[in-house]
Amino acid sequence: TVNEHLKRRKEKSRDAARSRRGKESEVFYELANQLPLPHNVTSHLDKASIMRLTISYLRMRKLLNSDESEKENEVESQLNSFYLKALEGFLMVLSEDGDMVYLSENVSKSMGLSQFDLTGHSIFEFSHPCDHEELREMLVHRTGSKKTKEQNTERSFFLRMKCTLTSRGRTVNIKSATWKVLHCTGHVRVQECGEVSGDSGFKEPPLTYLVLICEPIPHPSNIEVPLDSKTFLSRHTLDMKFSYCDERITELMGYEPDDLLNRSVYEYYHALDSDHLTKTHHNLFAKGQATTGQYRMLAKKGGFVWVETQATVIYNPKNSQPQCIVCVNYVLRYGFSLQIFSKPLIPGKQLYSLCCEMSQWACSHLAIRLGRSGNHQHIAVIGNLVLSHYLTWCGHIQAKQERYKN
Amino acid sequence: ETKSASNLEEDMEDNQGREPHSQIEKRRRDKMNNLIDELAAMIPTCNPMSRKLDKLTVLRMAVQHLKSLKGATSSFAEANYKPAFLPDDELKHLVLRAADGFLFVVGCDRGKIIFVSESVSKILNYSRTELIGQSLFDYVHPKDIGKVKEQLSASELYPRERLIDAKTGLQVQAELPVGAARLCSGARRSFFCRMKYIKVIIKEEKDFQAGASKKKESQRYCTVHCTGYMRTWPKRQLGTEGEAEADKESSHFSCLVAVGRVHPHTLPQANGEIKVKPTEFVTRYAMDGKFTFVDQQATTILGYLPQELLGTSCYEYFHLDDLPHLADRHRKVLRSKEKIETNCYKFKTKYGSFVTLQSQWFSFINPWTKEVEYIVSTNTSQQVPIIPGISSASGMIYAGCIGTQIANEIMDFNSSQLDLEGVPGLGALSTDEAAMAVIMSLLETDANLGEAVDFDELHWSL
Repeated sequence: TVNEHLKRRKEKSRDAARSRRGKESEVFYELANQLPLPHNVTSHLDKASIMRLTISYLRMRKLLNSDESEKENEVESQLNSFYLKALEGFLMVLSEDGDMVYLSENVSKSMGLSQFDLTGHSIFEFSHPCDHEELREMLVHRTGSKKTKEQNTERSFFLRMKCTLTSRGRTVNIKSATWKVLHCTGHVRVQECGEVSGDSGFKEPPLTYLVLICEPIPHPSNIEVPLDSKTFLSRHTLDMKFSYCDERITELMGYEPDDLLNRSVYEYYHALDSDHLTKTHHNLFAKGQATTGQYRMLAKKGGFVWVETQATVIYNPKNSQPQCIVCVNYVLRYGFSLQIFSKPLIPGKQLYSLCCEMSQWACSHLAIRLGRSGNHQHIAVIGNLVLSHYLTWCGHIQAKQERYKN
Repeated sequence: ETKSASNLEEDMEDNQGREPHSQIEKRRRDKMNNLIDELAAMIPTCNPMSRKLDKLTVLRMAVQHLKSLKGATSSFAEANYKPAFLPDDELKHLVLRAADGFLFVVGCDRGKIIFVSESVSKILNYSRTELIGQSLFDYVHPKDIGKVKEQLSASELYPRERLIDAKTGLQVQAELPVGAARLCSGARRSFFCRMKYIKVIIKEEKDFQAGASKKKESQRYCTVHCTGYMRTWPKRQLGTEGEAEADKESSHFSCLVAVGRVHPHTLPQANGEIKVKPTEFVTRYAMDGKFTFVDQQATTILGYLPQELLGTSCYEYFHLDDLPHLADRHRKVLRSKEKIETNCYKFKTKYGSFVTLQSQWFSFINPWTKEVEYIVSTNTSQQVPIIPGISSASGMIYAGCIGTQIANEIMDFNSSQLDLEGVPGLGALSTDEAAMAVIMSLLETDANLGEAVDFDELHWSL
């Protein structure tokens, strides 16, 4: 009968489907077992994840497919495992289109999410949308022609990624994830795939990838490492004026903490670094944390000191509004070094920044000449000695001009 | 136990739970198909196939492929094989691809370098054998020795005292007593210190001497960011270096295991090509043609420091052939209230060669005396300006370079004295006068004020 025939056909197709699914599951199971992951992990993976991880694994093999396998002695081999632990953060490899091809196992210590949760997914799914444009720029690598200078392969940027770790170390659901700022530093690399695949003589194009070390910036309320005597803490209002400074600054830079209160930190930045530091502050306010890289700060008696600062915005726990900024400042070189240089005026910016130990006579003389040049309006940082004299002379010059007018 | 990955995706995708089930299913199917295609693309045996393979075949080939890879990579053959996505040696290579760094292990007691990785030779230019067994303190800047000692020991560090309250941003008092906890295994360290490195410079002297190439090695310091942790080793595991170092009483030995990274150049580089545009610089002459002011840009073109030209007559530098024309222009500018253009003429540089300039002259007349106070000369040269720092071998000293040179000389000694002996033209003056002269010439640029001049090439090496 027609009905029976149809019924049998349906049964057959159902059986076929079941058998296919069964075979599929079997193969998936086999594939999962082939992955270099612990069994308790692989046995819990769903099909999509198995494929995701397999694809990433194969992509990584391509990237590492070079002759870097030097002979290592036993001691060296033992120490290989130390590299990752020594780093403050985790390693991440991104493909040209932003896929997280590899993340080191310790990613879960920083972000809560595990290596196999993330591997194979796109970084864009796990990072803050406002950072996506910057991220895309970082992934681009123009090799250019032989004539043009090769683009710099170094990368350094701040990225907000989803974090499921609470400040107490517990894990939350991805839906309750918060954004954590990571300082990502590394290089864009190009891997030549020398092999010719198959008989077709088809040579694969070189692969561009980004290999990064991603480090969280320690929150000042939770600094794990001991801070040595060449570090000082400072707190600032949102417009970067000092509201507190650790007394350690005195032996490092000469200032008494009181000298600095209510003064903008920009008064102490070296002119050539101020642009970069302004950008860092933008990052800080946009993302909540930032580090400055190495820059110069004016010391009390003249001279500059090299510093690297980690800055964090502190939010009021009641209304989540930004309250103040706390900086951990690492002084790298604290002997006073002399530098004489100049930077021509750029409208609206600092006129010149110079620093040297000059006698009072020299300062006054300089101040007169500056006054004559007629451009005292744009001076931001000159050097404490010069500036104070200059302003005194400004007062004199203005007084003279007033008299002349009358 | 972590959630399975698909649940993670579900959680992320789940908009409002209002999506029809069929839509969700379709999306999942599409995703699976995309993944299958991606996977097929990664497998060499799948690639050459012109027709699309079915899911099961792709998966089976993937299994085969992974099996074949297992045979190739050595790590899988190791007895104590620990399954990890990447074996440790490859991980190490990746780390080194990301950062210019090296691993080192030092004893906490005396700072002896127990181990350092091969990559140190690329970064500090010291060979590994030179360093192993030496004291770390021999390679750290003298002024940073104290700091590194603090980090290796527990004594002077009071981290808790200097913590900030997360709520108020204010410092809090120490809650916990500081003790040996800081030195226990696993305790982390993160600090900066200056380490010695050997800089190898290959000097090439082009125009002025017959292409001799010299290699110069000078000792410098670079700032290294060290991050790591404390580790205790049982004495018996150490080699001879360790045994000497280890505490005789205990059977254990405390070390710092750290990665030292040299950060890339601090300030972001200006990307893009170096634009060659005609260089302009300003000079001023007294009525008789004697230089009364020279813009510092002149040094990159003419080779002279401003001080070297001041008081001398411009005619000393004009090429003989150009003298009649320039003298004529000179007379003209003194009588005219307008800007006078010269033709191209040759100006003798410090090194005897000539550079082609073209100038615009203008007399500045004092409104009270009605006399010519000075002549302003805006000079243009088609020559590519020499980028400061690179041409130091040829002796051309750019005014900005003076600072770099002095800073470099003093950098390692941290002296606060201005040593001008090495800078030509300034040695004869007292510190004050010399400093003043340099500063004056750098600052006094009436004509330049308000113009943006491109100074991005000024590099400060650390």
